[in-house]
Amino acid sequence: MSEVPPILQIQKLEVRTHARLLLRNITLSIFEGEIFGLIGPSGAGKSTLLRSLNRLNDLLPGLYVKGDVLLRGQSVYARDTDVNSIRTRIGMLFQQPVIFPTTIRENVLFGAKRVLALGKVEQTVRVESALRESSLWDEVKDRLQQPASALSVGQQQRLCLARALAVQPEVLLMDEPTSALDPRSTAAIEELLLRLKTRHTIVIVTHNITQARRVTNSLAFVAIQDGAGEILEHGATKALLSAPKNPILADYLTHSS
Amino acid sequence: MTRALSWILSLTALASLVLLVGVFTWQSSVIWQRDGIAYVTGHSWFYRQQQFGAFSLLYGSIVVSSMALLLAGPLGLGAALFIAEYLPQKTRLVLKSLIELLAGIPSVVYGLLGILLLRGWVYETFERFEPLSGDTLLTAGILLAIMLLPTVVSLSEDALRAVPASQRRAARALGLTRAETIWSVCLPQARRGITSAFLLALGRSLGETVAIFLVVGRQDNNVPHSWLSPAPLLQAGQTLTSKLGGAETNIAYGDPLHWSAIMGLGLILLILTGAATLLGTVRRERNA
Repeated sequence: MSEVPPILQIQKLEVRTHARLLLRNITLSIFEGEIFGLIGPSGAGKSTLLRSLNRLNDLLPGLYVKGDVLLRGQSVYARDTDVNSIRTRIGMLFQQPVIFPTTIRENVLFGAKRVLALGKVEQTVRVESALRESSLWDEVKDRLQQPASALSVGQQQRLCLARALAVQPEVLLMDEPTSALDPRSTAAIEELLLRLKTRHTIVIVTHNITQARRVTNSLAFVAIQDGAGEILEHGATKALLSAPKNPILADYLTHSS
Repeated sequence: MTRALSWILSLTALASLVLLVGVFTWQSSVIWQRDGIAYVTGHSWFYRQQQFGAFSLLYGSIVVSSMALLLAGPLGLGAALFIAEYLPQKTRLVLKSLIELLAGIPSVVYGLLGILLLRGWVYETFERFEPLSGDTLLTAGILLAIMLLPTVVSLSEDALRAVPASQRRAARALGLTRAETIWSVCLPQARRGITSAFLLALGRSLGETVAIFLVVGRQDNNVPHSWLSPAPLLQAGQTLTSKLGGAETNIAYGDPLHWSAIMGLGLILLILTGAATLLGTVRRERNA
């Protein structure tokens, strides 16, 4: 595996506000086709780290980033990088599904239509393939023109996934995508993740150790050390969960399972 | 308790509105009985000859207000977009409170500024159309536009800020540019609020009196020869409010017919501003 260059390389990333260091010296490699999990206590900076990968932190004023992230060797933070094109290559799913107040079809096409300039036929094809990939097609194929707000929260989250997939990103970021969902929808999303990983690279933040064990290949444990979030341990999921080396991680695991 | 109180207060508000319209209808009944709809459509207002055609006043009000809205609408919306979507939070708040301060300037001050700055400018700019003076419907429209700007900017900005940040973030995360996000997420979702801002501004502009009074020229019976003819814009005109605010109102009080004609103007004005404001408020409530 180490022969292949990583798809995402986080290099000495540091995120801070005016007053406080949030993340210190984050260095990680994420490889193509894996599901990479970020675990750790609340407030350790997992979401901040995730949002640094597609520079969504840029939208929040007062956050400063040092270091770099490389997407297939290309710098995400370089001055001449087109942030919007980076974001089309690194899709994102949020904690709460964010539905645009329009039809199901238009929601799926929301990014794809604008970013990829698809023709009419291609649009229809893309809607179906994205909805199939997110396991929503059978539930909504007869009501694509109906408002997306009528869907259940679990369906909305899968719709958001379809919307992200329709842009055909190389990497998908997920920020606790199941924390707002009921167990059934959670199971559906997890199943989906396992199916998606053959074609996509996924970075997922999760609070749920069981979920991490079920779906991820690799894990990084983010926790506060000396006032800022750091990666205390990372590696293959099985090894990391069964034989944690870091005492804080061991403690975290016993308390959250 | 809250429920009962809100019902009582709502009913009080409604009752006073009905009462107001009732009083104006009653006070203007003489002219309605004499002229009927011809009172609204008639082109001549010569009170010494007992001719009371309110059309030129209605025309003046509508033309001045639409001009104001046409100018202030796009400009105000642009400013609101800039403030809501591009400025950092701190600057935004400072600018917003400054703009709201502008809305509080007495309208007579705007009127004086209109005489001082705008009248001459209009006269010189449109000299080749040979206006008789700088006191024209156009001058009033431009001045009114300036007065409406704070209202349009502030309310449109509120409407834009009411679009949840999560919506913007989701659009940006898909790779949409800021402009694309504004165009496809913010504007469509704020549409109700923005039209409501325009309607409330329209209501305000229809009712505005003193500033218009000072620069409109107060010339009765300025009516276009054909519809949409722009010629009257560069002539002195009269609006419902400038008429009502003038000396003729006091003269009219002794004469039942004349007085009812004046009160009829008040009724028309009340209905126009009421409709615009009500429509705007309802849309705003629904938007929120």
